[in-house]
Amino acid sequence: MTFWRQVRAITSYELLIERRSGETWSIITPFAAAALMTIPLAIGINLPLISSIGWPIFWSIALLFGMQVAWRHVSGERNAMRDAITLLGVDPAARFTGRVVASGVLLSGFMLVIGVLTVFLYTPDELNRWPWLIVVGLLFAAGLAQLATLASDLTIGLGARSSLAPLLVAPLALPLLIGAAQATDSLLRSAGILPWLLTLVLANLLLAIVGVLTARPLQEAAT
Amino acid sequence: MNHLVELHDVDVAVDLVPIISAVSLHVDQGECVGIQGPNGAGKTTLLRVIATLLAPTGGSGSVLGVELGSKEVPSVRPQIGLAGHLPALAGPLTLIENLLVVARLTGRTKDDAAAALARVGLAGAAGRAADRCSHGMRRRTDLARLFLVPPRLLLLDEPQAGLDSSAQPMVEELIRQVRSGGGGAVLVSHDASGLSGLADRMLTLRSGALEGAT
Amino acid sequence: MALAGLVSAIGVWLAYSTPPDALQRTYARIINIHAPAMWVAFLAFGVTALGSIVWRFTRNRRWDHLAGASAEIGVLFTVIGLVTGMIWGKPVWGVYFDWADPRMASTAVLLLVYVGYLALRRATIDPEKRASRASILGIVAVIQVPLVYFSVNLMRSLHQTQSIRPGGSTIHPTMLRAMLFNLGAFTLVYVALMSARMVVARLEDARDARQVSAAGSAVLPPNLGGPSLRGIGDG
Repeated sequence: MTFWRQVRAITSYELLIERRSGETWSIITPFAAAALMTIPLAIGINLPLISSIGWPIFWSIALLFGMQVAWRHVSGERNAMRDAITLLGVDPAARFTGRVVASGVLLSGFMLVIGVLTVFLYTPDELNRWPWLIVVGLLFAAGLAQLATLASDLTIGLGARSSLAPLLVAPLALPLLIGAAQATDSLLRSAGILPWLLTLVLANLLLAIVGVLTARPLQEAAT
Repeated sequence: MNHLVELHDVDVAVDLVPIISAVSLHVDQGECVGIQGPNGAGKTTLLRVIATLLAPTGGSGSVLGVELGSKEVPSVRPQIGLAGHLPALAGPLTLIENLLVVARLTGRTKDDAAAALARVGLAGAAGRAADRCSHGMRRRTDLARLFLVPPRLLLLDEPQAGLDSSAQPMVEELIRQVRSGGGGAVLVSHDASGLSGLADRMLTLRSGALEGAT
Repeated sequence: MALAGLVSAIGVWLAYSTPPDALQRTYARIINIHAPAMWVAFLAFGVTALGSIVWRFTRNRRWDHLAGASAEIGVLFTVIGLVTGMIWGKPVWGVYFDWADPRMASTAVLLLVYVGYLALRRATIDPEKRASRASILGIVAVIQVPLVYFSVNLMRSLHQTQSIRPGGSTIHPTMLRAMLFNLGAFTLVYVALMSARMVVARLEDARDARQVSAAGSAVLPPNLGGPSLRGIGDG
């Protein structure tokens, strides 16, 4: 079976599990929405301040809760299922790629919903050339999906996995956060966003290379 | 003679705790070997070593002609079929969807998956989510996976656990198919009486060591 | 260790003997701790990456020990660098932690990355798995080091740029001498700490290798004799 057919099969499998369990849409997204609401409530009646922090808060929520989206069923993942897929001879790099694509799709949808909520709750400043925000968002989602999948593979079988994996992802994801936040800031000021787009593209490339190259060693380390 | 499985003085420690010590055994083509032992003896660990899912920390061995711990190990894994005591199913997916995932990954068709599920008597429950099925139904589905993708080396952990008397001939059929194809099987259980009817040869594992001739 | 201590003491004396800065007064002397501490941290994380790479090729556990030990010391010196930076920052910049300073922010991120690395090592009990996973993270994480170092050049910052450059130095020779001496002293301290930590690692290995009985030998048949337990609802 070819690499890309395996990727498609793993992606379909992951998305089907999400479709059946609904963890991203019925649990994580409402939780993120609640988080979006707590910040203005904590700040109080300071509408200009709330408006000015709208986009930065969006990216922070996207990062912190996006990690949960990427690990949506990891805590319940059965060793037996993972072993079965290993024994089927699925290329570990295909498995990594398939999981990243699935997480990326879910993250993109999640960020779209959170983005719309941010606009309604924070009334942030309007962005010039807002379609570029979609490009930035997709790059952010892809990078976070890769990073979270890599962290998941690094922590397979560890008891503290559900807290260790976020600790690994959060600091390593900051280049993504800074790239996305600075790109948004540049859009607000009608400045060029090329350096930040390049930062995001480079981060994605590095993560893709690392993820694919380390897929097999990490699979063998998990056995 | 080329054995399907050959272990020489294999040690296995998991998280620094020795589980298996100096185990030597072999499994020949067409042979079904049963390994029985009490709780904590290391039966599941030994099975995972034979499945190439756990590398030995000492000793040497080969499975299907490939040395354990070598880079060639992934090449023989598709010929190994393992059904552990926990079924390999994704809970939110239905029984047929779980088999369709396997079918898709191995180039089989939807009809093959449906036929495998029917073979284990679960055609009528195909649309039920795995986490809403009984343990016995999940175990049957796990065995259906092995009918869908027949292995050359069959490994079963507690082969009859959770299965009612009408389902137990499935295990015998799986073993028969594998043997007739020139493969072999290894069964592990704490229940010696259950294994003796299935295995050609019985070994006893106690505190990580094999007793008797191997 | 004694030599490192002696050299460090001389370094402290040298630092105090430098004249106060015209603007920053005596606060400038903290550079003699801050800069060397960050240099050692970068060195340590580089050694972690090197140990990780060599382990992947050789599977010799000594290289994994090297990587882990160096990361621990690197985290320690990063904390020292951050704390001294904040102590210096408050009177000079008016804030302990200046979010507008990319060097400071990226250093804090660097600290978190390696705290995560150490957490991963600690959580993985099996030595082979620990070495395998940590080596991957150790190689990936080192990318942060040049990002931190060059952050002051890439982005506008309150933080001063490198004081020592190919064309020369931007600080007074007396101060430069003291700083360079302390750079050497801190490096000696790093080497001393690494030696000690490697000895501890070997002792840990020896402890782990001591014969432990097989897990199954702890499982005994149940003992059902003796008085029966009172059930719920029993009078």
